[in-house]
Amino acid sequence: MSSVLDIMTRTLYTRLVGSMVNHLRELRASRGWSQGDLAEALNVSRQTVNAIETGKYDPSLPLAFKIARLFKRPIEEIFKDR
Amino acid sequence: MLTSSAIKRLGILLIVVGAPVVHYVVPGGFWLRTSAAMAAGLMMIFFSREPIDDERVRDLKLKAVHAAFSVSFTLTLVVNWFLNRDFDITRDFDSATNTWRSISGFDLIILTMTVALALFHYWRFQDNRATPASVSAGSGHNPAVTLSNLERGTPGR
Repeated sequence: MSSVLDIMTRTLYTRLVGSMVNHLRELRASRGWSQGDLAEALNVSRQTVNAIETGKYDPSLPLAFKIARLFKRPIEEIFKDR
Repeated sequence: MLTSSAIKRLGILLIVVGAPVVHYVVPGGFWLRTSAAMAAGLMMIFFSREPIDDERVRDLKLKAVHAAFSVSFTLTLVVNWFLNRDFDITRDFDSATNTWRSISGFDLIILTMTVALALFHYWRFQDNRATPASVSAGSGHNPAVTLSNLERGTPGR
């Protein structure tokens, strides 16, 4: 019973806040870029960058690759499992 | 070819001007025709592209429609129960009393699109906000990670 509750809680949690942690904010800050600058470079909206940084949204694989290429780092260094 | 903002404006025009005209000016106006105009307007607003139509926008729109359909279908059942005092969804028009005994498909679309639009814009508003509270509550931002850690390749978690 408790495991069912645990799975439900985890599902709800990941739905609410996403399932990964990321270092996008730190990397962006290291370049001195604003969210708008990064959004422009990735061809997405500033809100999307904010949603990724705050963990509300896990980006698609193509966007994650784009981010990795932009910062010249492997994906797994930027995004990690929770 | 109409641009997305033109389609949105057309949708708003259809709701604000078109629907009242159809209802009050066109002879023999009745709710089904008015609701069709409103449903069309709401769909034009919701399904037209946003100024920056990225994957997050598409994700939120899908989630909003998903949630809105569940909400509006439940509301339809509730409204129909109040109309008929049962859940028989096979009735459409009661010729004895000359009244509709179920809300129409257009009404369902209006409900769905209204809820979906509200949810989408609320979530978009949430995306727009930097939320330090949610950050400390375990979001994607990791406070244990410092730039020096990153440079050394040893992130905090």
